[in-house]
Amino acid sequence: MTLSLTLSLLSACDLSGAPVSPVDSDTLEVVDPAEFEPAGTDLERFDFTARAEVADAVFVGEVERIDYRQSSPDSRGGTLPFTFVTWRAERAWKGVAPGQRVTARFVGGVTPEGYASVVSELPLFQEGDRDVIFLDQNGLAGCPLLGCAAGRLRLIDGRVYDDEGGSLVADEAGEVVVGGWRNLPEVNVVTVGTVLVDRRVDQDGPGEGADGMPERAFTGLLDSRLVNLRSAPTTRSVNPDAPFVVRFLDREPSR
Amino acid sequence: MHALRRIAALAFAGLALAPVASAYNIGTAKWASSPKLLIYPSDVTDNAKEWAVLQSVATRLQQNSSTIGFSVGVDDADGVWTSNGENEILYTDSATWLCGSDACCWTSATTTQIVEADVFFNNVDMWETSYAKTDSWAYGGMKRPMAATAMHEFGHALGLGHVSNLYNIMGGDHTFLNTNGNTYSVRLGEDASSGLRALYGSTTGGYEDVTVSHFMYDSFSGEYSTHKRVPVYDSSGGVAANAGTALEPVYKLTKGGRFYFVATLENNGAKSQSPGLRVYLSTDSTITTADTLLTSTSLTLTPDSPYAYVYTGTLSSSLTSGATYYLGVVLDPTNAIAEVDENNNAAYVSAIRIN
Repeated sequence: MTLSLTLSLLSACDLSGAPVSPVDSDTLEVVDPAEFEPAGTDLERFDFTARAEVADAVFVGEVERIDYRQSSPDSRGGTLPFTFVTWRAERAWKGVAPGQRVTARFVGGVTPEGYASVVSELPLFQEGDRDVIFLDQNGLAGCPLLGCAAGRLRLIDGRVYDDEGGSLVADEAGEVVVGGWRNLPEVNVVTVGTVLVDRRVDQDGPGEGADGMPERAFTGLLDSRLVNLRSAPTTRSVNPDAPFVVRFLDREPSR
Repeated sequence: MHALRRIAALAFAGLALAPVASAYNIGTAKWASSPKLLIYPSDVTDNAKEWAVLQSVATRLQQNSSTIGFSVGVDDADGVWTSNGENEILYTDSATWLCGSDACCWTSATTTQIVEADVFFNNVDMWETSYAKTDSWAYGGMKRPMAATAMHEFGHALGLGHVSNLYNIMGGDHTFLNTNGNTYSVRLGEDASSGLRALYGSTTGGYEDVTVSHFMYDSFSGEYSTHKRVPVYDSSGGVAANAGTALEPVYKLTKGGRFYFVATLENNGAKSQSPGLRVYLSTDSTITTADTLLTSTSLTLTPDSPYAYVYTGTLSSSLTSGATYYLGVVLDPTNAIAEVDENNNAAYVSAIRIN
């Protein structure tokens, strides 16, 4: 709607719709918002205490084994691919004992034809990965991590990253945030069965190349914050060799 | 925290600094030919409004600046599976198929080729299907914009991964909207378009689309970028006092005072464009070239990652105290660029209330 008022800029503007020249008193530019936004003020801080309270288990572990399995045929003969990931816990804060092996079941894996079945929300694992795991509803949820990919942190070369290669750093208040990104082959290149999943992530810009905080500092932080948590090894582990049926396959796939 | 490309004082200097690469996330696997996803037959009637949106999104996605296309159709009734050789769409309440989310895409692939994609949407009545702004999550409504989430999932189906560090449909899709007046529209966006071109190559046919939005990159949540409404700053240099909400701000500005605001511009095509750009003041949130022109310029938008556009001006002292106006931007106001979508070139930036 056209305003019926006089603007201070109006005399210099052409309201006919034809191209006009910029007004002298105005400036027009395209900039990086970081130049007028205080850096880092909107970064999401990790609340590990709250996460640990909700999670069934919290531990550092190395992926010892990956098993790809199909669910047993349901009443209509349908199966789904799943990935079973087994960690050996190195340190534990909840639900797992150090040295204990924990196997978790994820949707996606390898199809009967040998294809990699990749699910958009789920992390991918490789034997030898070292992770900080916040386990949640193992054997029940399609992604048995708290917040799915957010429930897995990576320990790579003694530094801490999120599942996408985001570098975990401490902000000015000592809280943990993602302060940058690294293109890490450990993150971007994963073999699913015999299929190489090789991502090309273009993460140029500020923060690129930033290392995550040292693992020791990070686990020390968890030591200080995840106190008084239930430490008994009560976490449910799943058996990759036990047949299982995905119950939803028995129902009509639409309402 | 990906840097948006910087072009200092572009309107006057006409100089563009070296572009910053985009942030897309793709693999080596891609389709050998354009996929067609088939919706489960009963969803055509059970979810008729959603289906209409999916068709419009597919049409929109088919028109992209890469060589890959995309379409949807109706499936046979032999059931939906994630590895049955059919590309399918299903509305379901299965948390497994939905992978714990409102929507999820499963792809089957070799190292070099995607052979199947299946997209699942929650069949709870949660989707905004009329493109009505006020019903949408992004503006405090109760429903998630179906079109934005569909574009995100279809992006996965074509081989795009999540993006957390740039304004992007492959991040927080429900705030990746072009809104003018009371309705919004959805597009693939500049970075995701760049990703498809990186994966499939650029189309040899003409495809041009420039857009303006009042959302911009904010931060991230897990693998997803988060977006916020663009700010309006007052003469102090700080964000002006907001008499509205974070989702629908009403910034308080003083008559005769300097102010500046930001808008997000995108070039979704493969070629550089030099569109005209006009800034308007309006008494309503539908910005048109009939509104009161504040200034006009042109700028060069090379493709790959979005631009943050900053306008600085002075409010007239003759504005009415207590009145509410809208700042807005129109890109390519004379339609000099032949675009696949001419309806996403205007956006209101924000409401302002005059002190």
